[in-house]
Amino acid sequence: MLIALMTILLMGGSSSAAVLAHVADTQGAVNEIVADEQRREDALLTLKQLEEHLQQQDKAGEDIFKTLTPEILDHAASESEIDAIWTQFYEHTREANAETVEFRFKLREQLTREEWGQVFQAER
Amino acid sequence: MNYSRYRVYCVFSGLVSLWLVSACGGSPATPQEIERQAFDDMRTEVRGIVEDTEREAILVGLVDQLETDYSNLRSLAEARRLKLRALNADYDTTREEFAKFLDEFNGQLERDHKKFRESRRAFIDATTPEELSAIGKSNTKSMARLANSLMSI
Repeated sequence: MLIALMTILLMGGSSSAAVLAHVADTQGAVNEIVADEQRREDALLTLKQLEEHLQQQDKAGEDIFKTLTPEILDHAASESEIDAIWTQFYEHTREANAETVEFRFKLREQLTREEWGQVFQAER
Repeated sequence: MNYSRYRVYCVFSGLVSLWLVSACGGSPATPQEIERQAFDDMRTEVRGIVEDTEREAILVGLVDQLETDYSNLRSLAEARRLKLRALNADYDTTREEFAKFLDEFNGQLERDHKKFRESRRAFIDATTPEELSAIGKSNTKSMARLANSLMSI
């Protein structure tokens, strides 16, 4: 278990769990606030795609987690091998973040300024 | 106390603690309480496994450091969550503003990881392979709860 805790610490701050919960809230708000049927469906599709993207990113993060776990408390593990796993993890995080931000701007194009203000009212 | 008697003692103490919590009708533990209990248990595990007092002190100090690192990580993740929500809620936030914030956050994460990798190396260097294996296998209920709690960060 110490190995798992150490790995989680190292991977920590990268989970999509909080964002996924936020996406679920946003889906509910879009359903309620966007009156135009076509734009509402487009926005819900974007949110669905974002949800799938986040789940894929978490899966990719878990795969890196599995690679790293045996190395964490291994006397024989080489530091350069562990560093290579980190480099892979940082690249994965940067790409995943950039892609997630693009979904946000796609959703922004599908809502009016007023609708956006209402959907995310609680966050302002 | 040999190790198997020590494990029996730990299980017994755990059951007594569980009974006390149930009897008092305690509310669910906060993340901070879960963290504190898990790291207390981890220190107890290390003390039970490593007999050399000098190395035991080094390792307990490293668990203390690990606890601080966890606490910092939780604060960092929470700050990121709130800042991202605020950036997202502002209709006029630009791509550049998102990129700047995420770069800063990732930079902080990489610095924290570097520090933690040094603690991990020190932890390995202060143990024999047998001790490290025994510590790695230790698996208390509180540690499992902490792991579950941290997966959502």
